[in-house]
Amino acid sequence: MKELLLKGYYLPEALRKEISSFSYSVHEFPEQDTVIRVEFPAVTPAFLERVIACLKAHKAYLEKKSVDEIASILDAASECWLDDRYAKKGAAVEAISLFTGFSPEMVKESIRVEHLSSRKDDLLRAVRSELGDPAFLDGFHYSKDRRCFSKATGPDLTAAIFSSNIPGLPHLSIMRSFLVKSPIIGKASREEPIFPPLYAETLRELDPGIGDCVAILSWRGGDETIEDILFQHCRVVIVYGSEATCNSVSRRVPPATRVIPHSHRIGFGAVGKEALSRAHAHAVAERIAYDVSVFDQFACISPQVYFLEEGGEVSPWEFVAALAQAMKSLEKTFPPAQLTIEDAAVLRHMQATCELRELGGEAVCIMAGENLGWTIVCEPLRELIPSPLHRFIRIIPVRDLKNIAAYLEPLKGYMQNAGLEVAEERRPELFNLLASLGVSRICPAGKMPTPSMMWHHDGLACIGEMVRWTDAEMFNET
Amino acid sequence: MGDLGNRIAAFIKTSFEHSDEAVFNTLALEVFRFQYTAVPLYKKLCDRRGINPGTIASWREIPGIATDGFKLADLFALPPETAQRIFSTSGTTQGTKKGRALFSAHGLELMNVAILENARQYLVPDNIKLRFLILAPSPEKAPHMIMAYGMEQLRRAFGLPGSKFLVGDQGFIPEELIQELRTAEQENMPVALIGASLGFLAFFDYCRERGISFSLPPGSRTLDAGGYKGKTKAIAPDDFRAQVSSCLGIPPEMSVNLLGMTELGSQFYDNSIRNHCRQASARRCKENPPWTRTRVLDPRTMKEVSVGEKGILWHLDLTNVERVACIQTDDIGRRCDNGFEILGRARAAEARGCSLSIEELTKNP
Repeated sequence: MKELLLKGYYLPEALRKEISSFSYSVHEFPEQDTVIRVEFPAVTPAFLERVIACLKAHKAYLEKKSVDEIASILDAASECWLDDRYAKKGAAVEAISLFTGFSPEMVKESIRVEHLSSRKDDLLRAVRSELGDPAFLDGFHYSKDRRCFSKATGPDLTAAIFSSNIPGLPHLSIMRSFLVKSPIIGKASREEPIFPPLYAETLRELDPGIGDCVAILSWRGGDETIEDILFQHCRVVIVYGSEATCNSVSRRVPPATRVIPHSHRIGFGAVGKEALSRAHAHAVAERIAYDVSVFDQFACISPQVYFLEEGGEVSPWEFVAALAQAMKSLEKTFPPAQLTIEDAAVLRHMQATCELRELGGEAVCIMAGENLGWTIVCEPLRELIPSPLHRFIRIIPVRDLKNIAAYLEPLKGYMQNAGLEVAEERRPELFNLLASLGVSRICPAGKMPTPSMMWHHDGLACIGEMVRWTDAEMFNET
Repeated sequence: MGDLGNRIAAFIKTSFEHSDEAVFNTLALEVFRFQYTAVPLYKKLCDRRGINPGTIASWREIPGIATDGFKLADLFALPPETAQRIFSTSGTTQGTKKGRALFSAHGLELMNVAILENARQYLVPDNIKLRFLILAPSPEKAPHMIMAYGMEQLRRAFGLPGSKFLVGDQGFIPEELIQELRTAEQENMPVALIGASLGFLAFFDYCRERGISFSLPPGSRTLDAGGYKGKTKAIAPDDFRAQVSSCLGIPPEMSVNLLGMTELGSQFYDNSIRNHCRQASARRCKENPPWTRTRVLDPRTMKEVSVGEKGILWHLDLTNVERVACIQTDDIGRRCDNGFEILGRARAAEARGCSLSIEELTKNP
């Protein structure tokens, strides 16, 4: 039996000796013959106050650095995590795979995707896109439009509550926070406490000063004695979690604190009949298979259904076979996540029901991989039913893509990402339709899992939301 | 089918004394052969699996049909006009059709035989008559509810005068049951309180709020069925029995849970009363009466799990000779040495991370 001891936390150097006691969570993985013990420092109100004071004191370090310098450090961190030889990455992939059930290949792909979009150029573009110029963060800088000198200041301290669904994602909040020169306390999810501390270690290795501006801790979510103290000190709280979690945090923060919520969302795709030609159908199928397979649909940007327009050379029904082939081939590249008995029972039940309806002569077509690896169900539904995930994709044939509005309207508050495969001349109309439904990102099929750093994540200016502006205006007016 | 049905009835009547695996297997394969040709949707399913009466030699290989199949078709192996009773499933999931199960006169007889044989072993192995107080509507009030039908059979066979159904036009009236239980205490007359699990919970709540409890005479027992389908109120079996004990004064071993399904003519009892009467120390679980089999399958591979492991439940029931006899459920259970335990029903997992889940969507309309 292999035993691993991992740190479920990260603290600036000075604070490490102040930890009063540790608790351990023990995770057994009999199939892999492995036991993992994760070490968590006890988070008491007094200790948290110390962490907060220490991080706030280090804001000065970030203030002294230019955004360009900070972006260079973050870029170097991404470069580390993109390198398969990076030792921390190997350890992370193994442990995250065990914790989350994602296959090691998928964890690797997830880390690759997350860090590929986090290079220096992306980071600076994201800042420019939302603030106009990184110089506003480095000091007072003249704005032609405002005709004044302005400075954008990040919070003295940012809090982030991480989720466990997407391996490698928590670094996004840490990067955004550092770009606005704010120290950050992250709450790691107990289901995946591995990546955030390792990423913080990477930053410390690259720049010890930056390493003193981040702490990763873990406590019971919703613990008010801890969170009340934390929220009091943070002008910005980033929350990944269910709608209930986000709402709960929003209710508990002081009035001046801004909550940036990333709650559960739904993604989907739509393919025009012109894209369903004999020549292109296979390529489209491969792209859709990638959208569905990456993250095993556990991301808010993953598609749960794909609408296919009827009337092309390849009908939606015929397309299922091409998609099945592509799903099968991706299953080899990125093996599916380990299924729990409960998840498998749901998938099995849904497959069995669809199969019976198909056999009974209903307009349903189902194709599935061995051992529940993937499922495609094609049927002309009248409403959108969310998928049980784990690569369970519904294909809904529609006469005209404009008709998808009727499906999406009831889910308006939950829309996130749309993969769209249509001729260029159709795009403006469909873009407008999707925007009116609250979709926050539209991209070609095959690009759904790989949003850029510049994307308005959840439709928000996630960097812009974090700063507070100071405008020195009207000095030159008479 | 008549002959096959008669042979099955004969098997049931003697099976607790001499359960013969070979005879069971022969009957099961004959049932399969009959249903394969007589139920078109089932035949299509078997054909897709590449299984037909010629390809299998063991009951274990008979394909199970998903319970939802009963919502899509009648899955009845006889001409529909021979159906004398139609029971419907509760159909609690919103938007889904109710399933139904057709029973001919012969099918009802077969079910009756099974109900009585089963109850003799698992409900009244001490062979006594009791006053049956039934937390369910009578079959006249609820003609499509299989539980009402089954409980009526128990009342007729084992109930003393004064046995009655307690869910009437005004629903369930707790005061009426309180009165009945007080009478039983005074007369020192053991009762069998049987009915819907949710009805029991409602009664326990009612009594707790008013500080009412009972000390029912020895020999009293409870049987609850129906589970907590689609309801937020669900409690662990141990908690249920603790409440039986504190509210009614009935010891846990005299409280059995029954798994019944509209799709099946047979039910599965906890073995605790039987164990108690035989002074056996076997662990509580659901036992298969000898004319049924249950397999616990790992839903990932559809292979049978080892003892102690979880999986989905697959049942084969010879009383279902005229309806598809082999069904694959979405109940999650654990395989035991001599039977199985029910753990719950498969539900879409809570969303991990940020992909919106079915659960969440139904919570936030």
